[in-house]
Amino acid sequence: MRAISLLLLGLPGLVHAGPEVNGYIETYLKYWVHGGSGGWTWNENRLQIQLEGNPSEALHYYAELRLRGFGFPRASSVGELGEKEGVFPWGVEIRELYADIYGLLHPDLDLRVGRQVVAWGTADRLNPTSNISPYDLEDFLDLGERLGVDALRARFSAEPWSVEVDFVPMFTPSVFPPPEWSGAFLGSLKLPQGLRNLKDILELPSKKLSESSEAAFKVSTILGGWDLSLSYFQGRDLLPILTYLEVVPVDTLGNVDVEVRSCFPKVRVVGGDFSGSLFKLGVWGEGALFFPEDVVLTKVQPGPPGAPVRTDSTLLSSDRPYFRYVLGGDYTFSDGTYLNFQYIHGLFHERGEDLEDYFTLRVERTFLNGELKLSPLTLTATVSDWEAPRENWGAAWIPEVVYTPVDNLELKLGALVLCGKGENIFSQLKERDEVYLRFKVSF
Amino acid sequence: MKKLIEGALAVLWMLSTSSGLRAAPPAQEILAKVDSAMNAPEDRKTKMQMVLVDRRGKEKVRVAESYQKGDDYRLIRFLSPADQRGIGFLSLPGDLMYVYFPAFKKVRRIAAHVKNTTFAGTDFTYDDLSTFRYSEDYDAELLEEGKDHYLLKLAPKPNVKKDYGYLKMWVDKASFLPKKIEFYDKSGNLWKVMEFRRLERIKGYWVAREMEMRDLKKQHSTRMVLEEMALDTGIPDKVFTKRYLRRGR
Repeated sequence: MRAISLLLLGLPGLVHAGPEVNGYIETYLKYWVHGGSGGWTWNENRLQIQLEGNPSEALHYYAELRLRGFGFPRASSVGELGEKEGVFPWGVEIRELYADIYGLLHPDLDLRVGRQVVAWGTADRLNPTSNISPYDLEDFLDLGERLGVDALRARFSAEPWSVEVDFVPMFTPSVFPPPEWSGAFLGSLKLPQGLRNLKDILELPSKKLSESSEAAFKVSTILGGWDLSLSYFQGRDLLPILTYLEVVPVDTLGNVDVEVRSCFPKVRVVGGDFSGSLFKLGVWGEGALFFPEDVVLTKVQPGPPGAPVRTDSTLLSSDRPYFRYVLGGDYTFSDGTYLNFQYIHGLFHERGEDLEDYFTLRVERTFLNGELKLSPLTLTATVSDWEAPRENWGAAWIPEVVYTPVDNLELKLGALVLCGKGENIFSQLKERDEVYLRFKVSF
Repeated sequence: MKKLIEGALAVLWMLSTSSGLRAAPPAQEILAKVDSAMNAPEDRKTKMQMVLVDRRGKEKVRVAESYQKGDDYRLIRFLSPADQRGIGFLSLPGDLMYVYFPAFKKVRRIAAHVKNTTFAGTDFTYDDLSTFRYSEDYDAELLEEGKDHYLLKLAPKPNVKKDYGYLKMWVDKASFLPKKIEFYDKSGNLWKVMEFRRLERIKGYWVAREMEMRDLKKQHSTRMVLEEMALDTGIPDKVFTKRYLRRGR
């Protein structure tokens, strides 16, 4: 009995525990629905392993590894069939791998060292204040997913106050989706007709501390029943921006070579968020003021023979900060129907004066004691020009059915339907409608 | 004479306090005693097994650990099944509720609208799991006094919004713990039944080792068995924080 009491007098739950292994296996398939030219676009068999333990009360470790067979056979000759990787493409990913040290310098100070996902913000999935962990844009359906970043995080808690300081020694860029999707995130780059060769140069920050490191801090508290936070980030934009475009004619038939250069501009971000209840409604808001460095796009294009035309245009200016924000709410009706809605000003790939407005809506209802979940109305819509909305709109509709017949087994069937007109992310992708199936077993 | 009067008063007092003649305390006082009995330990740590049974008799099992301090602070964390492991729920004074989903790496504030929705597939609502005092939310009326129980009718106070029209609560006279609670909807139909079983005395406190909530409309039930329980162990306040909710273990 005394032993039990002693155990409980320590921090409950933080008893010494050996490594525990959890995770899941998942099969994930997507099919591009587009008349005769459609086909399979995603073939993934994933094993995710989460390993964690507490060697002592003050120490915790966590690792999240993903092993996956991903993609389609790449062999293009009989000879390549002899290379197994060409037939069964696969890869390993260290999603997170960190150690927590509790109360090292002060009882209320926690340190986390290693690769970790730093998720800030109160908004649902799309968080303008969260600029430390890069985006994992590989799958358009998981928009808002983040990757781990190698970082040192210190969090001091004196409830209801907490202060978090983050230091990232080396910048990590975001992961892009396949080329047929990535164009939508790259802005207005239009490659010319007759393209023969494309030289695509991505300028990552040099490995110098002054160029590659990032730092951030966040102060949070509860005031009058509202959760509030203020934050500051100094680092780099998580997505590249085009800085140089050169088009070189190679013959008189109109064929050209193109060179493009992109970089990750430095940025400072002042952010804030809130969440709480208004009557019975859940409400939240999050905003971030971005102070970019000057970014100039240089275009070198064919002019008179022997005299290419060079133009410079300012894309971002340090004296023109821009403000991205999200306002949202949710409500659960007495019959169990869940409603979630957000207004978003500026998606993660939009900068400067090119911030668009988005509206998201999600309606969910569970049946059979939670075994069946229907999400018939998961919708994101935008109007890119309010003066001519009928010609400048876009929408993504993602109806989904999730069936959990037994614990630890989840089946998902859904579709992504994209439509729109004019220049916006959804209209650019409107030919990419997909249906998907996910089969997941947790352990 | 004075001694005679004192003696007579003493006899009257003894008679009035003997079980047969003692008048039932006012209903609201009984309810306050229920609150006191349910929240008597300064803190408690429990490991519980929840067995969910659907209308076809199919069972699902969840295991969770729970920390409670006073009647205002509670933290619950799921240990199994694997796909729910690590999901945590924190209830603080002032209707502050938070949930932690490991997959999102974030602590999320829960608004008041979810209070009457069920938690993680069980028949317990967030409101049932967040601690509260019946006597603060309900007006009590004594319907019946039995040999070993009081039967109370509880109606939500005018300024309190509940999904239930009223409750009927059977209170054990010995422990002042509820033995059974019936939850009626606003049309007066019986909706849910919660039973408290295996009442035991631990460290001088009465506790129910087993509870069952049956939802008659859904024909679904959750049986909660307290597998391990430790009372008055001095759980520090810092356990009931977002920091520990996030920490996960």
